[in-house]
Amino acid sequence: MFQGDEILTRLQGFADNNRPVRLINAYRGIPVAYSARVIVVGAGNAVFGINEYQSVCLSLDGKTHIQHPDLPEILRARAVAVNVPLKEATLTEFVNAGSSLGNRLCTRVQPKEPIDAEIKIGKHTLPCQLVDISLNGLGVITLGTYTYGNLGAGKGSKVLFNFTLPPTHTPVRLMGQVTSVAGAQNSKQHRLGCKTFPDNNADLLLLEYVALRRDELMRELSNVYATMRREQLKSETSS
Amino acid sequence: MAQQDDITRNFGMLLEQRKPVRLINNYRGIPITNEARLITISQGYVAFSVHEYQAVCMTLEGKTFVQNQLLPEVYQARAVAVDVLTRQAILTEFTGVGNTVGKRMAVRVQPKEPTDVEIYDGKRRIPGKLADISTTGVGVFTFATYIYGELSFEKSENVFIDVRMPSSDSILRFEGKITSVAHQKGTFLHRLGVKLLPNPVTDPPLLQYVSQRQDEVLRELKAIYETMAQDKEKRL
Repeated sequence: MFQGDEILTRLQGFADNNRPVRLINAYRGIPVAYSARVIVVGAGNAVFGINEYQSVCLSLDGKTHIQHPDLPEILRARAVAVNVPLKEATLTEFVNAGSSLGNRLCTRVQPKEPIDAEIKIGKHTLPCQLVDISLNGLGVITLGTYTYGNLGAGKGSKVLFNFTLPPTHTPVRLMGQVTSVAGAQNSKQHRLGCKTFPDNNADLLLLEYVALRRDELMRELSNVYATMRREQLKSETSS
Repeated sequence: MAQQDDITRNFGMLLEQRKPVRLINNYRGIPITNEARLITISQGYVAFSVHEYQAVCMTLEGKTFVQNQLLPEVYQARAVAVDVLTRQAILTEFTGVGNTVGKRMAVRVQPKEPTDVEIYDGKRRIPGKLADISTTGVGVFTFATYIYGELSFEKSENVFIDVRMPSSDSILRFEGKITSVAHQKGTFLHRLGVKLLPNPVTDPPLLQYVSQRQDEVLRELKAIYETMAQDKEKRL
């Protein structure tokens, strides 16, 4: 197994050979993944030169994932200091986080407000609300068991969604398959995670909506960066 | 375990009596807790009027904790929609999380720059880096076993901690008791938690540093609120 201190040796190699790694975070469902330079490796920690948006995510999350083709696994690391104006972060506690990035690079946006939808499970059609949307998946919340007693859907169940997406409110019909069901015990509210199989029409509408929300969130991230930078520079000047 | 019907009933009672709740979030180590007013309840969703800082935290974290003395326990809730401009949030998926959340509200700040510390037990002196600091405790990372073979510091041991204070470059010596030792498997890295003993000499500068960092972080939070609100206003 790739052990902790070997990781530091490997990072030192990246620093010596000027080979960048990729840091992976998320900002409100949007993957934020940029290359980062290993500046110096010290006692149990390493300083990275990072992208401005990454510096915001590291400040807020306090952690990141690191990827490089020469690393046998993705690493997870904790941020102990992030300097937003300098775009530098000191990371420590490097641990293996598996060989695949899973869904970390998948854009999953939250609507500004939950979108009303219908989900057809077997013979029943239940009202639900969309709480996150990606190009090939939906997260929905339903109180359907109030009406039918039993949700009637488990992992692998085939479902059909009907909803409209802002701003055009063109109807979208989407086939899907349940991948997760979460709900507190005795609760009539369930959250379903579904893999979806959009046809060409739905694909275009989803693409448009996800791109629109992503642009809005990236603009917000850019503004948050500018604000954090300005505030940190201000406090450096005053101290 | 709280049932959904009970939760809805409890919120219904608070709405009827016009009792506010307290929402609890965290922004970069600073607990953010403010009163929030219930606006409406509908089919498992509860709309709240919230404080501006809470709106930012809920936007960024996607969740919050809800507390009120009339509720049997603190509820964790998922924020499905937050309007920073109107300061309204819609919460759902309420789950009981006991009553310990919100009890430990100490401000624990992270330094801006990597900050050197030394831990000393009267015999050995090992170097480390500050992970976080509050007025009652510090978290320290140390790689010392790379040099010394074993850490030798144990839980409950009394130690001195010399911190090169980032704001002044002076070294402050704190005295405390080790409360936790976490070892990262396969590495020489340890994380120590130390509870500080009260000290009239070091308490004022420590309080000043924690307050200064807290002010900086809260100013940043306020600025982010203004940025988000302006951005939203522009899009309307």
